[in-house]
Amino acid sequence: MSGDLIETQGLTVFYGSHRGIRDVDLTVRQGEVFGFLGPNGAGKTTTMRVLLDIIRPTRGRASLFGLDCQRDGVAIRKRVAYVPGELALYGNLTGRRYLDTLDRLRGRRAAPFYRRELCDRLGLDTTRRVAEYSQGNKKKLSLVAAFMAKPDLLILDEPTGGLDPLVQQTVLRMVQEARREGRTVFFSSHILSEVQAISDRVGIIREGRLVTVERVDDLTAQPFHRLRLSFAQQPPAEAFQIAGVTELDREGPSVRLEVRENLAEVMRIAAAIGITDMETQPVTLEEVFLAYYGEKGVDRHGQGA
Amino acid sequence: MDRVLSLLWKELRERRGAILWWGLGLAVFGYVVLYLYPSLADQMAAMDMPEVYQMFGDFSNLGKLKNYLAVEAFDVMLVLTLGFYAALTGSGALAGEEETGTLETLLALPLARWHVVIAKVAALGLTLAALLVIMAAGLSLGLNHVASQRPVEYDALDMLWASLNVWPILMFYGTLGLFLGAYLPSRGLASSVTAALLVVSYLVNNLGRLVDVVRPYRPYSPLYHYSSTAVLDGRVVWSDELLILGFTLLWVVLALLSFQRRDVTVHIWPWQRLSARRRAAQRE
Repeated sequence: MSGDLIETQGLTVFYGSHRGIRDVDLTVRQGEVFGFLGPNGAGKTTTMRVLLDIIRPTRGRASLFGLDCQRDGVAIRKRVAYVPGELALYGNLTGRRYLDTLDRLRGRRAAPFYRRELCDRLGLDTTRRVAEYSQGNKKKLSLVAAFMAKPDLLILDEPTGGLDPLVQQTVLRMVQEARREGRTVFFSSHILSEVQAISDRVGIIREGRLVTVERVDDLTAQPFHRLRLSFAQQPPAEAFQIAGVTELDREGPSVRLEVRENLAEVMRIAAAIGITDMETQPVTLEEVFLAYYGEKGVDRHGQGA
Repeated sequence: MDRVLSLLWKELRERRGAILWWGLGLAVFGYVVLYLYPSLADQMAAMDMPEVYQMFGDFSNLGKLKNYLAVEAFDVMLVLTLGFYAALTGSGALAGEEETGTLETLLALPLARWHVVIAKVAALGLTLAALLVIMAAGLSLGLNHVASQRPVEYDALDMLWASLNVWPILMFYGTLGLFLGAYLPSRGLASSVTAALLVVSYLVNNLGRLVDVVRPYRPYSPLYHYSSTAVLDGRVVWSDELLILGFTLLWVVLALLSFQRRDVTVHIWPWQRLSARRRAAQRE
């Protein structure tokens, strides 16, 4: 096995005549946290379900741990835990019984101390019936069920959806701890700041096609600068109307610019007007993502998608 | 194997309520049916409605305990009512869990799909057997009441065997529902088709005793091969039992094959999946 824990080649799923995913070539390396981004219906959940052999591919192949997802599904799933995005749990069981049941069905008993610790960290009361749980508590239960097994691979579909911000932070810490222990996490999220905070690499899927896979640092390291310039007095409206420079907004004596070229010229003009302060602003993953999904389908380099 | 047993245990735990309440209802029904028998026997013996007798079986006298039991308990009540229960439970076993979403959680665990099907079939079989045993207990209590008023030729063991005699035909419809649930796109469709087949086979079998046009089709009704009174007569028609159990096995095998190929959470017809594959192959 190479260092790739998840590997898909030309993975395609059609639901009858409807597209699920198309020609997805994806690799996730052992020990990394991989963020999978895309809006609803883009194909994130479909990809995860194929990896777990819940859905069979129309074409292409998928392997985990070097094993074929379909042929060696049971062996693979012994080493994987999954948190589905659309939670449906056995409502007639208490939280404790639910976890016991999953333990038995996995054929491997989780360490009781660790399980208790996870429940405490997430603030989950396992004495109540699952049917009485809020959506947030159901998500917590599902997360405990996944993490308690200490699997080699965690597949998490929107793991922080429906959780309050404090618990979201706890979940992100749990993911980071899993990575430190050498485990691999493949997760999707709509909260781009959290993907940026914990992912080593991200893949962006659009209309069933994987449009990019890059390190988060590379993805946000754009070939342009984003600057906030402050002046003693309001600069003239046309001051920065030069090639390669876009004025994003202005607020009193401050302007925010996106500078793709002519940075030296911008500095010269700013100095002439009487600059008092300058701040460079990092590009967020959210901005990169929105560039991929811009209304006009314009990619981050300004080219039509 | 441990995981299959764990899954079976989970299934049975989930059905505790159904076993309790359905069982209670059946036991009370069985008791009441026989409790009323002594006061109804003479009236029923005096009834002269040969068409009715014929429709429910080849009976000449509903005042006889065997015929009374066949019509009041083992035919309409057990076969139709529990038949619907079996059809709905069978079709919901896979398709129902798929619709509620819990099947996705289950299949993400290290379970082979055949583990799931086998556990579901076993749970269905044990649940139906438990209900029939509880029903037999109610009938036995009722039989004690009858025995206190007139001599009876049956005992509690006869009630148990006569109740369990319904098990194969119930499993036939339960596993048919299971197969259709694994094959058709939705649970609603699977349970509707299974329930409709039960009604049609009931009508064909019972009306076929009266209506000449329908009579030739009776052997095609599964219920034709179920006898509510054979066990009370001390005989078992093995060819009929084997036929029903053979079809039951066939439905289980078809359920296994269909579920093995099913794209769970995707509610499409099997041929839609095949045509998508064909189109994808053509593109290559």
